[in-house]
Amino acid sequence: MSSASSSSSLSQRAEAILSYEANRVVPALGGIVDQGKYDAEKNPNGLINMGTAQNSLMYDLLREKLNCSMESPKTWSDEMFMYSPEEGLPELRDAIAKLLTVTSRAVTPLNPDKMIIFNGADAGLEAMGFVLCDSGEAVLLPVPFYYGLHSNLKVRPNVDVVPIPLTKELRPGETQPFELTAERAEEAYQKAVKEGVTVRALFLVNPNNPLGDVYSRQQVLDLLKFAKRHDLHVVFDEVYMSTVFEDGVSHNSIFQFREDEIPDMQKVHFVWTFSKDLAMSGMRIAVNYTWNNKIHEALKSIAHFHGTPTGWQAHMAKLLTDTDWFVNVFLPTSVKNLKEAHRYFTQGLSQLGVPCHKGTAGLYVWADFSKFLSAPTAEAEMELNQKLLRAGVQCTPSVTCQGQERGWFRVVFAKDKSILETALARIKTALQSN
Amino acid sequence: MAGSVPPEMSTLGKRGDRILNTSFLLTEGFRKCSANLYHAETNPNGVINLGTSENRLVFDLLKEKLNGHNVKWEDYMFTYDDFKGIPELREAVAGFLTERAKSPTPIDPKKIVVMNGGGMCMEALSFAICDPGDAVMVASPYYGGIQFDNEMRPEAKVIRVHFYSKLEPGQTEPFEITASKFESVYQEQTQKGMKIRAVFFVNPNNPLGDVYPKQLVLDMLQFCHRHSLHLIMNEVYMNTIFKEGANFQSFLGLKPEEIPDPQRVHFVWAASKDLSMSGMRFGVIHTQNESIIAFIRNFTYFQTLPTYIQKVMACLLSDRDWLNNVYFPTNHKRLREAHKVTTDTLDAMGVPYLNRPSGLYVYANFKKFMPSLTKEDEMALFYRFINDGVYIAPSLAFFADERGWFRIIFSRPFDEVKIGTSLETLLSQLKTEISSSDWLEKNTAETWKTENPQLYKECKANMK
Repeated sequence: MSSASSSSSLSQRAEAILSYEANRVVPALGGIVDQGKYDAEKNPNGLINMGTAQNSLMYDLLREKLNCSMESPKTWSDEMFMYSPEEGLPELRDAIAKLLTVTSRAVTPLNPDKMIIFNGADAGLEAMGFVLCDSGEAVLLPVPFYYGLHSNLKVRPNVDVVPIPLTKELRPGETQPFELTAERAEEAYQKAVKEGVTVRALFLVNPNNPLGDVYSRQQVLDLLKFAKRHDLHVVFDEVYMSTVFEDGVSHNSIFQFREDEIPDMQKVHFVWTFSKDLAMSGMRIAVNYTWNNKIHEALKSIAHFHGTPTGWQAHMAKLLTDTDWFVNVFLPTSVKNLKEAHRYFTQGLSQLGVPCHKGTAGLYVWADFSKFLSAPTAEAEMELNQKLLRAGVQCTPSVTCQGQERGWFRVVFAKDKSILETALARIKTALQSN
Repeated sequence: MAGSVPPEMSTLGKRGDRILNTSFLLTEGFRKCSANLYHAETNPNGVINLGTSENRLVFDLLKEKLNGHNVKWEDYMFTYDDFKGIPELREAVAGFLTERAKSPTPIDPKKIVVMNGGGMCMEALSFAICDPGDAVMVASPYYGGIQFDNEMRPEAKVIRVHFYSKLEPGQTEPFEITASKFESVYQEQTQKGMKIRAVFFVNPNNPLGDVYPKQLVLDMLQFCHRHSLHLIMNEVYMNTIFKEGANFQSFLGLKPEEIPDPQRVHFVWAASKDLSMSGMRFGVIHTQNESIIAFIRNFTYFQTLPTYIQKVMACLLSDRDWLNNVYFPTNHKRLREAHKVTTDTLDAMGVPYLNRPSGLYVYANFKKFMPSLTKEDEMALFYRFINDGVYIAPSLAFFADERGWFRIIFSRPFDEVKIGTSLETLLSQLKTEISSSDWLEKNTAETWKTENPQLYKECKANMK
């Protein structure tokens, strides 16, 4: 019973969310380890956070660039203090369109007028939930997934997730573990329909979180065809677009497909953010892009509640106009750093007897700790999670990501080598402890 | 077949369609203006925006201050951070509010949540307190955003408690708010089956400019307590009281024993008006109710400010010496001057208005320029003004029940927008036309409708 409910009388939806949060299977932070964030010098016993997907490898480059561009000339001007259009400043949309046209290798340049700025991709995804679905309706999402999506869709829009379970075990015709096929999507869809659920959309995270997979061209086409068969919208969450670190692998953005290849352009939407590709999660800049005018208008109304400061948008627009620097300096450096960190960390895990799914993108690995579980159960997985926390490393267990197999964890590796070294030592300790 | 998508499914679904069709008159005005904005050199025939409530009189002070700041980039600014607002910022806000509201005890930074705007704070509280179909009460005329904040996503209904310029029992001033009127509307509406959950109260008032004294604040607290309602005290104009001697009582200035139900009162403030930075997207909730804070934390993640900006705001709000001795005195002086220019012009043109001590606007009565006091006639006049180059917001934008009033923003720099001149030109034009014998006949809503079918369609939506 919520003790506050009688005296504070919250709405039923607020009470429901509070009790959902209280019971959610999420790694507990406090109680076990509450020694603050790890810092090599100031807090060497602090918790190493390998649960939040942030790229910590680029701050020196960014600091240099930003301190430069923001000091001169004088940065604050009148317009920055005033209300700006709901869809975001035109110069920011222009700059993002230019950058994404290059990084997505788009077949036609992105149109800034189809873009709406939100103060975060989760806000943008929540908005898609509001606009595409009525309360109580659902979207299809392959799992394991980024657990935040469940909250984004549930808390305010009251949209449910219908999982498309992906498995380590291959089915006939599949070529790799955790492969997302149209067949699996179809199966999940039919199951939902039988249960009386109204499914409105398919959300695809490409490159994928937490697997780190990049969908092939054929995969994207197959999934679009599947969606068309059932008149579903498709939302392409491509926030990790430029984090492909594996040589010879390229990301297939929705922008690479010609109009005639896409069954229904009015039902295809795109989300991107500064937080991952550009390592700037603190900036609160994200975009929704849609070819559907009605949806664009509806999203604008919601964007009213998700504005980023005008002055901020102007600063970021200025920063982004140096497309050359981003494409030729920042992103290649980021990819190189990610590749090195990935290699170092997966080798380290391998030496500990922890294999990883062969992801090619992202800031994390999907690591298999299953042989260290006392039993293939959720309880055993939580037990291992607690061991990791006690040793001083925070990861995201499979249960949280709605993964089918027990003992897998998403571990963020986009950190300095010295931190990864410490993390590996702690993981070793955890695995050897009782 | 159960669960399958009906063949006639709209691309958007019912909720998407509703969102699409929810419009907001103040936004319409803002958009129309933005599409053809006046600029002395580049667009002298554009529309002068005297409709959007922004204080543009003190940008020189702000620029000097902020450009002098030199907040350096540090790694933590690139990352996700405390989604209630970084501690340094909440401490600065707490200190600022404690002082300006004359709080008897220091305000606790842990009871503060920072979001990306005042309206966003209001929406969050609506989500926390109301289920879809529940209702909130607001005194009209009120800032139209409150409608949007409640209706759009939370799907809470807004019950208007109308106040009028003509004095009713219990009133001593036009549009004076009384708790007794709230009580009678409450009874009437609950008998009709409305589930009322909260009152949204704005002090100082927008669009009227009224400033409410302690007794009324206490009366409203008692009214809410009697019916177990939440009370949202929106004080975004708290520091925009430019006339001396105004009798203002901030909720945060009350003593604990004066508040019957501390778990059910929530305070909202923003930088948009008091600090003249609507573009900063900076809003604050203060509440004792930990459950509400816990609930809102589920989505403050979607509505935080960039970490760098939080640092900038923390610095600004901590500089109380500058705020108290430079910013506020200069701001209030300029507001007084601009207010006088506007009221002198209205006096000279014979347009009655409310003379009030706060806000960025004057609520003025244009009924003698209207053939009749209908919604259509008011909308026709609204669009007529825009055509003639000035955007001012009609009473419909404030969900008032009394037609003919318009809110005129006066906080515009004199050398850029000669308010007095532009108002004077506009009004004298109108006056000349209206004295021509057939103006009132020619300028009926019917005529306007015929001449502007598209506009009429658009504004029908705004006439609800």
